[in-house]
Amino acid sequence: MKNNNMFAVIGLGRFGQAVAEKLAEMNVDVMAIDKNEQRVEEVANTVSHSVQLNATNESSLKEVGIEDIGTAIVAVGEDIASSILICSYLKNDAHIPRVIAKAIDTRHGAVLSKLSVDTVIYPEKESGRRLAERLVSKNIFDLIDLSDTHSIVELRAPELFVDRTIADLDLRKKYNVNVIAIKRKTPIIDSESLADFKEETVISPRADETIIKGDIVVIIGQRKNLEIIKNL
Amino acid sequence: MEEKKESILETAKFYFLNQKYDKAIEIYREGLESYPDEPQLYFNLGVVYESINDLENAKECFEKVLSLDKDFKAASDHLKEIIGN
Repeated sequence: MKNNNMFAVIGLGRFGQAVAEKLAEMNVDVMAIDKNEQRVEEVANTVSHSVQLNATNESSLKEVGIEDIGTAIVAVGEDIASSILICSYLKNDAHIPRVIAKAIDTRHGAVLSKLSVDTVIYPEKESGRRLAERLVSKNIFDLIDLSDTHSIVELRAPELFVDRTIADLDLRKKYNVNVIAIKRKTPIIDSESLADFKEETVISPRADETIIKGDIVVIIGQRKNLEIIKNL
Repeated sequence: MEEKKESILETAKFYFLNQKYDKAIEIYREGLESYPDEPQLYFNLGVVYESINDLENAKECFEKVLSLDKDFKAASDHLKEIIGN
């Protein structure tokens, strides 16, 4: 029987390892798989199951119960042939409900899409884009693409926002975007008169929440509209 | 002399705690004209900049603190945090 809460991460290079560790940190049941013994050992104490096997061997995957997995993340991007074989088996034979695969380029991604892989990701392309955004704009702290048209962006609140409430800014009406969180540093002074701050996040801020100088606003919306906000 | 420094710290503290960051920056900057070698003023100024996510100025302040007092642990902690970002 499929266990939708169980994840498999196949390929434990830097990307796969980071995904497996982060999922485990969030108390998700993770089966981490790689053919390299050392890589498997590195995550053995972090994830719930770690298995050394060659994932292109279908019977080995079957033996460890891959068919019961709800979500599989295929992170063997560098070896395109293996990536394709594994995805094909997971999607078309093992019938894993959700398969997410890393692609190294658009041609690799196109093949994965043809195999009915649910989501194809390009981590290097995405991190490159994020880095470029951050380098060019000091105000951008993070950027997550949700689809071809929509993103979530974390940016330093433009001067125009400061000392105004969410209702007053009326971003939804004016730009069709929503503020989903505010990250704020609240000032404190210790007993030796040294300044410090504590960081807090206001999730789903109310309409009467006032933006303070230095706030980082987390905004979701269409990329073209977020571009306008970034340039305010 | 010490009294004046205390007064600068107290005034800037008031503005900082009330999130009037521009005013706090102004007070610390003025204070540094009288006490250019005072690590605590640079440190607090750095924290104000960090609070408003002006990380370039914050970094400059923490580096200045460490050039004046290499054992100022809080400054090296903040600097590490900024460089890590």
